[in-house]
Amino acid sequence: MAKTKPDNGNPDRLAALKDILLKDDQERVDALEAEIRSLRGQLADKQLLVERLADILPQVLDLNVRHSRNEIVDILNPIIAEGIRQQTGNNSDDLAETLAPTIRKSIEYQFENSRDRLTEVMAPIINDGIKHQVSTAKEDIVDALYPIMGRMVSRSVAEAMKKLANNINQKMNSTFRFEAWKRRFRARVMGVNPGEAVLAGALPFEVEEVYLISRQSGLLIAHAVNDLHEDHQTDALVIGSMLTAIKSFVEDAFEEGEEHDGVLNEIGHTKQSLNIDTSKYSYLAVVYNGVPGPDFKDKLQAQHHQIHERYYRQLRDYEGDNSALLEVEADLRQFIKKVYSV
Amino acid sequence: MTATRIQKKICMLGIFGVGKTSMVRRFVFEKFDDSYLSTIGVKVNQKILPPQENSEHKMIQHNLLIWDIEGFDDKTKPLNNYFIGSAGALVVADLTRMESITSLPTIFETFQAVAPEAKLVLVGNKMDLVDKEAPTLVELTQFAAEGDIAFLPTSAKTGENVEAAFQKLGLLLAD
Ligand SMILES: Nc1nc2c(ncn2[C@@H]2O[C@H](COP(=O)(O)OP(=O)(O)O)[C@@H](O)[C@H]2O)c(=O)[nH]1
Ligand SMILES: [Mg+2]
Repeated sequence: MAKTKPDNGNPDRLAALKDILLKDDQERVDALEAEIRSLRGQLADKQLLVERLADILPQVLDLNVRHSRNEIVDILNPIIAEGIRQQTGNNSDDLAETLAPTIRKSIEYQFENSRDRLTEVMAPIINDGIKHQVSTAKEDIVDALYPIMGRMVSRSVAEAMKKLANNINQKMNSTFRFEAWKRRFRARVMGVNPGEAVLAGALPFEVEEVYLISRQSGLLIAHAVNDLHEDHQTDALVIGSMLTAIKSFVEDAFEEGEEHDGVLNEIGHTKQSLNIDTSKYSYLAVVYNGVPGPDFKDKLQAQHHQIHERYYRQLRDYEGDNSALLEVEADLRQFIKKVYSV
Repeated sequence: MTATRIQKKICMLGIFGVGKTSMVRRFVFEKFDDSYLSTIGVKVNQKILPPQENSEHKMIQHNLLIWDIEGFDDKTKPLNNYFIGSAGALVVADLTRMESITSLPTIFETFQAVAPEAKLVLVGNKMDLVDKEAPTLVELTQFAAEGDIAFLPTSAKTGENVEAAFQKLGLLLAD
């Protein structure tokens, strides 16, 4: 029976997750992980935190004031209204509503004129500033971290791939010597096995599977596979959920707030990649092979946007019944065909 | 008439070692290995329940996505995000350990803060190890009655009531 981890469980678990997911990239990840650990350590250490805070405070303030003054005001607005309501008793909603805009104006004025006062107001927001710093390192790690879909989705495909890769390996050993040397070199640098490197170079771009996943529950709303491959429908439901769980885990491990949902957007793999587009009620996750064209992400986003426009209400009220959303699957199949040649 | 398939996310809740994973294993055929459970603290399995009639007399069939969630100890705390979007939960206590029962209020509170509408079934697992007068069983029965929560004693070892517990939750989900 596995023993539960100590307090700071997440870094340990993260290490274990990486173990499962990518043995090959371990070294690269180790370095990045050390960096993250140190960043997390700094976050945990109050004294250090204060020092760091002092360092970046002016910048953060500066940034935030310039870029998000309106948002800050928007956040404060209801709180102030509530405060007034409490002060003046329950029947003073009207008063609060009348005063709120005025106070808002006055706060705006303060923002422009008083740096010191600002500090008080900004305290909760600064936390986010630090998170932002952490997230800079995080991007790299997430990039390296998650060939998970490759593991989970691709079994049957992976088999075919392996055979193909073996064939190519044999070929390389006999013929195209110079080419082979170049590929081997590239493979060494890139840390993939030479056969796979050939594959990555030779593989035409192709969308393998598309998942439309309910953002909160992780339930699978619609799923489409490339005609060329067998349907993974049974696994697809579980994969949708696991993907959502992993996304939550990663976001939490990197101390991300809920406002940054786009963390785990890309999962690289030597043969398969995953790209996730996030919108209000759903994720659109696309598993593909090869190298997509430059406008692939735009196409993905546009497709997702279109689904959202058309099925806005169904997505918002989604409770696990797919019957009102069956047509989405046809859309997704169209999408697979459409981007095939990108 | 064919039944409408409806997916529902449910969570397995309870402190370490009460038998959550064993219950799921009894109930479903597992496809993915457990490494995910020990690393990210959750593993999802799927099980299709038999067709049933819902409150509007429509035939439906629940497809449960069962999130087996690790933790609720002093040492580990599950991510609250794992609870989001749950339609129900099977809360597991261990009839051989009173602390699995005293931990219940915190578990309910934490879960319901995220999923207030979720339907709940409480089970007292490892019934094969205790007799009918066991203080834990008495305590748990009373706890369930006071909170008006559906309750069943189960054994993941013998399989007794395991299926019934999930089906009970299925019934509640159809309301
Ligand atoms: N005798 C008996 N042992 C059980 C029962 N359910 C689980 N166990 C054992 O209790 C231990 C913990 O079970 P596990 O399912 O891993 O608990 P979890 O941490 O809640 O997932 C394991 O050794 C199981 O074999 C049961 O109903 N009866
Ligand atoms: Mg377990």
